[in-house]
Amino acid sequence: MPEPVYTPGPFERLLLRFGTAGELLALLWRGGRWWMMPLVVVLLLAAGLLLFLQSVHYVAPFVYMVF
Amino acid sequence: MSRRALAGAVLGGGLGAWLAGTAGGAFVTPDALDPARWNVIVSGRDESVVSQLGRGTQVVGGALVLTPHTFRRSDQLVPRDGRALGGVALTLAPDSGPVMLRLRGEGTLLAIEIAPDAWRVLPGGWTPYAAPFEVRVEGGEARVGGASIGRTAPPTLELSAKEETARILALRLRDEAGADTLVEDPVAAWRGRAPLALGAVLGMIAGAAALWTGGGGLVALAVPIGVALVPHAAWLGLVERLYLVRLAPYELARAALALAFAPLFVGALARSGRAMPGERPRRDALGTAAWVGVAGLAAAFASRDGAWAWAPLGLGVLLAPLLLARAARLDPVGLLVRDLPAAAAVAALGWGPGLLPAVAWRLVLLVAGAGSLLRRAPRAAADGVFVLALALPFAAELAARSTWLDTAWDTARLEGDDQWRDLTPFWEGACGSGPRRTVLYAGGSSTGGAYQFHDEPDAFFPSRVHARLCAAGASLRTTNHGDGGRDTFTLSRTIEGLLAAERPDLVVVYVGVNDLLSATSLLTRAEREAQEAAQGAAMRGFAALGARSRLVAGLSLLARPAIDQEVDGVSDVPLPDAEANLRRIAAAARAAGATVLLVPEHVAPETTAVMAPYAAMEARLAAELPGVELVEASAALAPYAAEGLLFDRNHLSRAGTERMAELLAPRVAALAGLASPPVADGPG
Repeated sequence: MPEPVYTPGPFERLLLRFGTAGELLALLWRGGRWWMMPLVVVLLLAAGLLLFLQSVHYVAPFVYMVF
Repeated sequence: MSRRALAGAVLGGGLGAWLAGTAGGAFVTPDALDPARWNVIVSGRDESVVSQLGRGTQVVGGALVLTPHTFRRSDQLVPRDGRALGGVALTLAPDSGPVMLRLRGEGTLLAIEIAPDAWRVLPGGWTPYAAPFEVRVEGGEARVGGASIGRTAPPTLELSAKEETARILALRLRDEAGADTLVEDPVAAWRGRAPLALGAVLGMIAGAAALWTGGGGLVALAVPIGVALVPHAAWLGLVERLYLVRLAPYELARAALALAFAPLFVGALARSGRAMPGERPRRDALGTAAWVGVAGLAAAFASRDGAWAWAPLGLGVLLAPLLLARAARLDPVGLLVRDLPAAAAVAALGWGPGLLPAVAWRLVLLVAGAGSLLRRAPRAAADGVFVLALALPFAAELAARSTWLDTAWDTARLEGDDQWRDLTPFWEGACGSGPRRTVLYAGGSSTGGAYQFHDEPDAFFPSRVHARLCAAGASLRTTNHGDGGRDTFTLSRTIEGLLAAERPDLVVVYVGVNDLLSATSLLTRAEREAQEAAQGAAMRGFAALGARSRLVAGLSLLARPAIDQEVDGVSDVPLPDAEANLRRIAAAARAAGATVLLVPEHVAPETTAVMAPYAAMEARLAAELPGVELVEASAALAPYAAEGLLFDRNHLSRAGTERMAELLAPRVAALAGLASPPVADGPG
């Protein structure tokens, strides 16, 4: 069976100029799941906030100043 | 092989060999120092990886390397030979950072900073010299080039790095007669060699892949080159920052270098067009059966330790690519062959650690196969990418929880050791038959739990006092609540519970060092407590949610501030806070009908001046507050200094413990209403 015919749109053609990374982005674009991006962005922001909130609590290992 | 790939291999081979020769030291297994000849004193707790190896002090690249720590004070290198030092000669590499050489005698300290071409006695000015640098100790006088640089009692030697990595090429210690007692010749002793051949081979493969892949490949090649140029000190800093307590810096460096090749590998795989298999054959029952067989085998291996609860879910995960094969009409056997590393990882490592490499490998396949899947089944492939991207952090969390990272990235541990809230005594003892008096001891590592007597809890001074009083016929119960890191902050927050649990007649408080001389944060303990209390409930709840995740805890460490103890260091419990804490302790004890006996910690002579205001504050409190007494231990123990009362600079030795017990026993007996033991004669 021949490989399916693929006709990229203008935006995908632009993406495909960037090698493997571009192919991945074109895949996600064509896959029609771009509307999940807000979810991903919110998750990333929440993760960043969690990381910051945690880090402020941490202390260095126990050390003596003058020894 | 194309001409471009061939040219890349030649260029890459040369580049790889050059990188291995110039920057390969960070990736090589270092030699350990001979533990029979050297003591490496490492500040910090539970940080040892392999004894004498792999942290800041090691022999690598033909030099004895001392690397300053990011989160701790520098290691101190001390010869084990107990003989009095007569001289030191050392040669530094031309690119070495300065070495701190301390000659520490009883009551004297000479600190000499040595750079490759100049030296100085701190805090004086620099004097140039021609290598080797040599200092001699004669008749209580330290001399450099015949000129006196200061008086010193028979000294011991300490070497440490300052701000930069120090590289010592030769080191020679002499006794007072001028005979060599210890010779380090790391140039001759260095067994490891810069991995030129390995660097060349890696470079050839990477160079060929980069030029074959094209422009993106050259960008991807920059990643491993950048990683290869990261110096050992940076890897050491990262290991400490991330609290990777079981990982040596060179192991982290190797893992990072391996991962740095991933973008290049993905690009080359994509360029090859072999990331995804060809068309599904008409009859694919055999392929499906092969998938089920391989997944079943991997699941059985992964569950070999009895982790069968994971098997149904794990089996589903292992078989999931069949959905993609069906949607994209891919040959299932071809896909299975490509997926074998994922199955092998799960089978070899188990469900916990194995799912992370499995998910990562499948993501690699999908990314590299994006060009092919774009034509065949973009929606199913995009779903796969999203699912795997979302699964990656969960798999990482599972992997962290399945390994030693579960302990290393435990939030409770990272937030500063909450064990002080535990009211279980470190040691307790009772003697006598009549109504017993109870004495409670509280303090830091000199009171209980310190490393010098860790497996002998009855070797600490509270139990030695107890033994003396029992021998004198007392009817007594003693509880020792001393432990490493405890201070007046922790005691003042637990005193009510301790008093209620133990109902003591006397509370002996041996503190000071952990209050004033520990610096674990940019904020004091009290400020950290206030900051936490001021945080909104919602934010605290959100933070607590993150605290449950090992991954969040681990990644948060990347953002934690490094503290320069000399510049930014703030005492965990500054003097005013310590006074407030002691007042709180005294008030609680008085309310419970107990007397408090304050004993300022006995420390080495060079630290006495720093601790003097603390001792004065305790004396003032004892004079002011009812029910508070004082024993000035340092003054009372000073005549016995020649016996070596301290194990290091603040922990009591066995001799020190006995002298402390001898000193305290009569006062404890009097204050607790017990029969007093006989008092020993003074020194001499």
